[in-house]
Amino acid sequence: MEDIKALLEKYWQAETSLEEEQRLRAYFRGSSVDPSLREYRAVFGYFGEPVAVTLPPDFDERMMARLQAPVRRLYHRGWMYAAAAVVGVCLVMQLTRPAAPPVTDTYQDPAQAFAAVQQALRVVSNRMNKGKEMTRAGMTRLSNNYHLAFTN
Amino acid sequence: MKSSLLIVVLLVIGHGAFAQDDAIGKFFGKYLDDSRFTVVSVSPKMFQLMGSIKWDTVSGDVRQAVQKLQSFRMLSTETTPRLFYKEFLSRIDRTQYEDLITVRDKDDDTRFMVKEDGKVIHELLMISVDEKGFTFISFVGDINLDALSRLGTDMDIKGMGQLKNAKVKKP
Repeated sequence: MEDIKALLEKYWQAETSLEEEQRLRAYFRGSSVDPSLREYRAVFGYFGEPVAVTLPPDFDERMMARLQAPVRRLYHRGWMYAAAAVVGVCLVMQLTRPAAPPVTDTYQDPAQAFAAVQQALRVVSNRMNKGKEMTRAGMTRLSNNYHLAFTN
Repeated sequence: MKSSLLIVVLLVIGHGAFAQDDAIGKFFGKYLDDSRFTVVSVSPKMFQLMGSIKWDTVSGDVRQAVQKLQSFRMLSTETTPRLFYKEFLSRIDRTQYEDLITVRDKDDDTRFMVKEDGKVIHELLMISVDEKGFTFISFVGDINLDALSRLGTDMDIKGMGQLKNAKVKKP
């Protein structure tokens, strides 16, 4: 017990020999560690016997299989070309698409143009009102019938 | 083989995505030079030039309506009107144009459609068909429907009087 403490002191001073360190490790790995020294257990606990790591027997085969497996690419080169071509063609179509023709002029004289527009406005207005009149006529008929049916 | 099929599919999709342009303009452009059609169009530039007109002879409603317009286009034909009517209806983009009024009478169909942005109407289409012909009218600009419907009352066009009489006819 006391010699362990003395050894620890030496250990902290880095004056222990390999054998002495071996003794310390053996002590702390053991089950009878003095409670006052328990906190040091972690220091020496790490230096346990190295665990024998062995490769599974089929390791080489598996490794080679992985190395030789065909690489799966996210995109095949052909697809990239295809996508680029589609984008390109769309762009060309967009650029060369015949645009809707701009509004041209039938008349060169504003007064004539105005007369035509006015005429058109009136036609439109008339047709619109015709719809209203039809609705009104329909409603009048409806209310008359209602009147006849329910007030006598 | 597989990839070429995919390219075709992608092209169709891609083109569809780009092709959301003005169907009306296309329709108009298609028949612009077609001798079966009568074409009238007034450009935004011409609307600006209309500032030089003697406005004092023009009624207030008409002036207001015209001054807010940007362009006007009209197509009409007397050849196979029903066919063109159908073609037009199938071409129109329903996500952009909303039905406003549909007037269907014994022998004529008229549809009004609008392109709206919030509360403002940017374009008014009128498509009309009867036995005699097919007419398509487009007004682009800031359109006030109330003012537009008033226009019909301050003028004298054949048939208008009859409608007025119909309104006051009492049982």
